[in-house]
Amino acid sequence: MGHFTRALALARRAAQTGTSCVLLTNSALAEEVNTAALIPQGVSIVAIDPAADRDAVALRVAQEVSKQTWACALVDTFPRGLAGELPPILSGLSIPCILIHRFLCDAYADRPEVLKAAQSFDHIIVPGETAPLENLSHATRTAPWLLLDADELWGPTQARSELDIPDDGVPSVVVVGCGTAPEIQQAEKLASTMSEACGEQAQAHAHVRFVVPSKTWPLLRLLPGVDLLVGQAGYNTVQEARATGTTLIARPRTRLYDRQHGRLSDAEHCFGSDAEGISLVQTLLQSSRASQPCRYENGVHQALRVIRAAIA
Amino acid sequence: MTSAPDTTVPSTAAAGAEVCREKAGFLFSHACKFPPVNACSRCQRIVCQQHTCMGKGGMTCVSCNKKNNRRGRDKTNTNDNDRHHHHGNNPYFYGGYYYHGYGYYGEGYWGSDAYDNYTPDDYNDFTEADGAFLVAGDENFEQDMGGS
Repeated sequence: MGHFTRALALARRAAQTGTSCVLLTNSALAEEVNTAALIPQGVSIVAIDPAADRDAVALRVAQEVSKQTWACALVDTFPRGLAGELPPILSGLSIPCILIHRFLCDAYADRPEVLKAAQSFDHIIVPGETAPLENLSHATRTAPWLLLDADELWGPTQARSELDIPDDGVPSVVVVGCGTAPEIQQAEKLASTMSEACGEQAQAHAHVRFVVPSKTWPLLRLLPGVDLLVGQAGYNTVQEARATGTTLIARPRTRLYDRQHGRLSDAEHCFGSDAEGISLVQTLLQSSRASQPCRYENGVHQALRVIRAAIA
Repeated sequence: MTSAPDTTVPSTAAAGAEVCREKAGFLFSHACKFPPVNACSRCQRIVCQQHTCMGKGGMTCVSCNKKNNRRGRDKTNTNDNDRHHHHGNNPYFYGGYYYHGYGYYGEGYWGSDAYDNYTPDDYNDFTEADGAFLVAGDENFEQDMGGS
């Protein structure tokens, strides 16, 4: 989901400034969420079946690339592609190829073939977080990439209304269900238990809501109405919470390439069991929070400048 | 020098909970069932207390600690005492040097009584499938299309 969101963030900006984009993705999110309202004219999404195996993915990517009339190719996160299919495909292109280098675990990034593939890109853009190959000479670091600019976010009252939260001054806690099916189920159960623990008679009373991307997306737009966000520690959740000043309570998950534990700073809150999460929420609800207008730098704008310079 | 692991045996992780991502084992590499308590400072893999090493590189997993040690070791030094000093009492780095008869199951060696009732056919217990446990590392790289 994170890869698609990051790619869409860039594509929106590019299309708004006259550059058409094709997003090639195998993310299930591409078909689950209603992107129509967010996608300007000029952005088309080519969806690869999320259930396709590596051979089918590699074949489809090769087919799509062979049809291209692009001015530039961008690859998100995986220098060799998710199926290791890219090196022969990209080597046949005469257009600039740029790697969007989100964090990759050392166990993968250290592989000689991965480093070689990263070095073969014309440019590397690091979207706002430490990444193992960020010190390569052709890498540029930008601020984190966000799907929406600060002025596109809704105000607290409108956001709470959208989340079905009364505008009564009671703090709001939103639990996000994303990731694998068991993880989503676990988040929903946590939200239910948390809602009981933070009921009207509780010392730490809050309105608790459970959201999933297929129904509530993009959540970023509604974060001004969220006092505490309970989620995982993927790229978008963490960067969106930080940018909007939303207190995040994160349950880092195990991923093949990402290291969610490592993304959180010492000052950020994480938990393992549901009981820990609820205890943390109850503690944080009892501390005062001053709401401030959201102002943040969206790294996609700088990234577009880098990309356009590469094409020129 | 690598500090010896905590000898207290933790409870295995509850079903569905996170587990240690290290696969270093005493004999075979295998999945670990214990809950993670640390993150490796090098590869950021989450690991249990047993698979945590405090070495020159800070807090690392066993695999990264081995890599660090291989890089730093003087390969011309075959002095076993230096190797012992380097690894301390950590069983993940020891084989026959520390455990008498390690890898040998003949009469008189540790574990040989487990084979007292074996027939000749039983010695084919280990198949190619068991070799899967001998492979270290994340074999699903570029195989798992949803693993990002």
